[in-house]
Parts: sequence; structure tokens; C-alpha cells
Amino acid sequence: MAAKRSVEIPRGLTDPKRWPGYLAGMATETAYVAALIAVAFAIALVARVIWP
Amino acid sequence: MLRPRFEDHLVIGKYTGKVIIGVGLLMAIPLVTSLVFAEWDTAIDFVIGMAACFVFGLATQIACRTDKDLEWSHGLVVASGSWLVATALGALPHYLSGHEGSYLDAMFDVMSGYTTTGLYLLQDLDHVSHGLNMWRHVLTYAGGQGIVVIALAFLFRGTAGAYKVYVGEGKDERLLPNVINTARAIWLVSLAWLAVGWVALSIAGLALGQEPVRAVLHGLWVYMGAWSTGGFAPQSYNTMYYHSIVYEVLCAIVMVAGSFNFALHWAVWTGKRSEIRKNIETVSFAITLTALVLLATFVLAREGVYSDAVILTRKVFYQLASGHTTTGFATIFSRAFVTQWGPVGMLATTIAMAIGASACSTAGGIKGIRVGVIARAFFHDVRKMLAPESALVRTTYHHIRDVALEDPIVRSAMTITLAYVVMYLVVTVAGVVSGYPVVEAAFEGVSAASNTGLSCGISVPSMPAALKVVYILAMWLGRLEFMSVFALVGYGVSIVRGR
Repeated sequence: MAAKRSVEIPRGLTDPKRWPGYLAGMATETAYVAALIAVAFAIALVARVIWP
Repeated sequence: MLRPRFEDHLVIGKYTGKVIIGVGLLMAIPLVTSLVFAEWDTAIDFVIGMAACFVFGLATQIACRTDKDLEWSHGLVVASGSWLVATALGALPHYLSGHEGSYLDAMFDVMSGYTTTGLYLLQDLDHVSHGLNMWRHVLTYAGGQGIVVIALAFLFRGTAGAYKVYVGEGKDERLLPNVINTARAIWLVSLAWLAVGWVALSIAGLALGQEPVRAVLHGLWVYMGAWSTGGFAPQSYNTMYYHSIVYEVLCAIVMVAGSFNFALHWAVWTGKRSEIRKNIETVSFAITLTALVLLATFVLAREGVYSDAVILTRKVFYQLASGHTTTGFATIFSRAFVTQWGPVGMLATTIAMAIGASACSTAGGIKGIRVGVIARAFFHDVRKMLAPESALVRTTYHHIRDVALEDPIVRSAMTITLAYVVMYLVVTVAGVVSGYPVVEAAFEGVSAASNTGLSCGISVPSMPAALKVVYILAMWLGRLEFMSVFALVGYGVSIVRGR
């Protein structure tokens, strides 16, 4: 189950050049959660239509 | 290790001591907090706690001098043993605060913190000192990263055996080739999210009208509870205290992000953005969460428990996402699970908690990757049955890279899943034997064993002491995923048997 080596070896984990990539990663993760919330809301709307 | 030699004891003692020194250093954070807010009694509690950790840690460094490096079995014993010692010593400030009914209650709360469970027996939570509240949340934040990861990142100096302790703590992913750098990368991800999440929650608190210092402290503590999927909050009403949709959305984002595999974080953060929609864990999580939300939403809508779609989403999604990520944040009262959600709502939440989130994350439970692998194996077998006899059926799953589904992977997933199911049954039976209805016993027991922390009202100071011990053991076993605990038990048995 282990992914032994997922990315290249970094020279410095906190190198400023890496931060735009890190922030884009955080935004991607936030979008995933937003999509889950949107689906839950759509389910709630359908439920309210069926059981007003 | 089935026949431990004297040198084995020295290695285990030495590295356990290092981890406990790390725990003592962590107590500096609540100590400083107490001093800043002039909470002198609390500060003394932490000085005593730190002293106990340092005495233990330094005594083991002196008594267990050895140049021998860790072997796999040592790593497993150190990981599980150090969690027990850390719980016993970390409970000192809790007990000395006067907010705990007994030392067992204090150990329950500390084990709950380290294991990111979130159940607590602490009394009068709304009036505990800032220092103790800080300690509760530092415990759960540090426990989420793994207290061994802390020691790896800051105390171990490039030992070749460090990876063995890291694996013993239930994390088996190497984000980077070097395990020390892996531990540091985990901290980088956590600290970056800390900066963003803390600021966002503090601003939300200010917008709600909290005093600036209170908004900042609550922002920090709620962030720590969410990211670590711990579920501790500074108020007894948990996150329902804030009555804010913005606060709830922020908590949901942080707790779901906190439940991601650190290898997934690292892949997404280093350019593999599509990983989030292809990874077996995020796919599995999205499917099971949506299915359970659908079930609970329809049942609660049919019963007319909530008045409109927004409230329905806020209540159902939040509790189920909290359960599925094994966080334990709640925006309903504990007893509302019984009185409003009913058996089907509680069943949906129990299933969410039992499955849990991602491996190698701060979350507990069976884990999405195992559920995904077992589902894949099931469909693989169906395809094999339907295919011509001569056909070669090959199945893969995606986790950072495409992995061929092979029998050892499926067997490993099935073994651990079976161990969790047995543990869930045992804690449920323990609850029933203690006099609780089976649905409530299953809900609370699975919550403890999956390190979630949602409660339907069983975990209170007056609960039977034996059930507290069962829950403490379940939290410990669930967090470390059995193997290192079994190694510790085997080590103990071999000592008792005199080799």
C-alpha cells in the first residue's frame, strides 16, 4: 500500500519557488470539499421537493 | 524479539525516552500560554508535567546507553509503548487542574487527544484555563502528526532505524526518499494549512463579534481540532457554539483536508493536481460520504426534522463529514442523534465513522484505501467469473501511481479490516454489557475505536470505569492499527516468560 517515491527529491522544502505550487494544491483540495458540499446541497434540495 | 536480549531492552528504552522528552518539550507551549495569561496554578501543573517527562526521558538515556540501531520489532514496540507512557505522563496537568474526576478520566482525555479521538470526560470545559485548553489542542494536533513524527523531525539525528518507528505509528508512506525529510514534509503541509486555517477562523470569529484575543485563540484551537481530525473544541457546545455557516464551512474544509493522505497532499502540492479526482482514497471517500448523506438526508427530510434545505445540508453534511473524516466536531447536541436522527441516522453516522478517511493521515477507522481495494477486488472477481476461462483479467487502482491489484494487497486490506470489525464488535458488546442500548453502544464504541469522537451521550464521567478502560484501549489500538500494539504485547509476554 505504500507509495515509496512519489515526487522528485527537493533541494529545500521551503524554497519560495515552491510556494505557488503549494497554494495551488491547497486551492485544489478546497475545491474538492466545495464540490462535496454542493452535491450534499443538491441532495437536500431533492429531498425537500419529495418531502416538502 | 521473541527472545529479547538485554540490548533489545536498551534500544527500546533509549528511543522511548527520546519520544517522551519530545512530549515534555511540547508542554512548553501550554506553559508559556499559562504564563502569558497569568494562570500561575496551571503553569505549575505544566512544570510538574515537564519535569516528569524529562526525568523519565533523561533516566532512560542514561540507563539505556547503546549504539545499536532500531530493528523493525523495536520500532513497533517503541511506537506503541511510547504512546502509553506519553498518556500516563501527559495526564498529569489534566489531573492536577482539578477538572478531572480521577486519574483514569485524565488518561482517557489524553489518550483521546493523542489518538485524535475527541471524546472527553473533563468537567466544566467552558471554564478551564487557557493553558489547559492549549494543551488539549496541542495534544490532538501533535497526535495527528504522530508523536513519533515529532521526535523524528526534531530529535532523531538521521538514524537508519527511524523509519521503523514511523511505520510502527501507522504511517507507511514515504513522501520523500529520506524518512526524516518525509516527517518534515508532513509538518510543512500541516503548518502551511495551520497558517491559512488559523487566520481564516480567527477572522470568522472576529466577524462573529468575539474579542480579538478570544477569536485568535478559538481560531487556533478549532483549527487544531479540525486539521488533526481530533474534534476537541474550547467550548462544551463544540462547534455548534459559533452558530455560523462560515465557521462550519471553514471547519469542513480543514477537517476534510486534514483527513487526506499526506502522500496525496504532497502529490497535489507538487503538481499532480489530477491526483485528487483519481486517487482511490478520495474517490472512495466521495462515494461513501455521498451515499450516506443521501440516506440520512432522505430519512431526516421524510421525518421533517429540519425546516429547509440549507439547514438540512448544514446538519447532515457536517455531522457525516465529521464522522467520515473521524473528526468528531458536532453542530447538534449529543442526545439529538438518539432523539432526532433515530436508528437510521445513527447507523449512517456509525458506518461513516467505521470506514474513516485516508491512510497515512491524521484520521482513524478502516480507511478509504482498504475499502477501495476490497471493492476493486470484489469487482475483479465478478469480471473474472464473467470472462472466458482463457482471458487474463487484470485490475489496477490508482494511489499516486497505478498499482496492480494483487492478492497480498487484498489480503492485507482484508486482515486489517477484519481486525477493525472485530474491535467494533468488542466495544459494542462492552457497551451493551455496561447497560446501554445496542444502537447507542455501537455508535459510541465505533466512535472511540475509529478515533472519531462523536458522542450520543455515553462518554460522561459517570460511565463505568471498565468501559472507560475499554475505550482507552480501543482508541490506542485503532490509532496504531494493531500491529505495533500486538508487538508490544508479545514483547511484554516474552519478558514475563523469561525469554
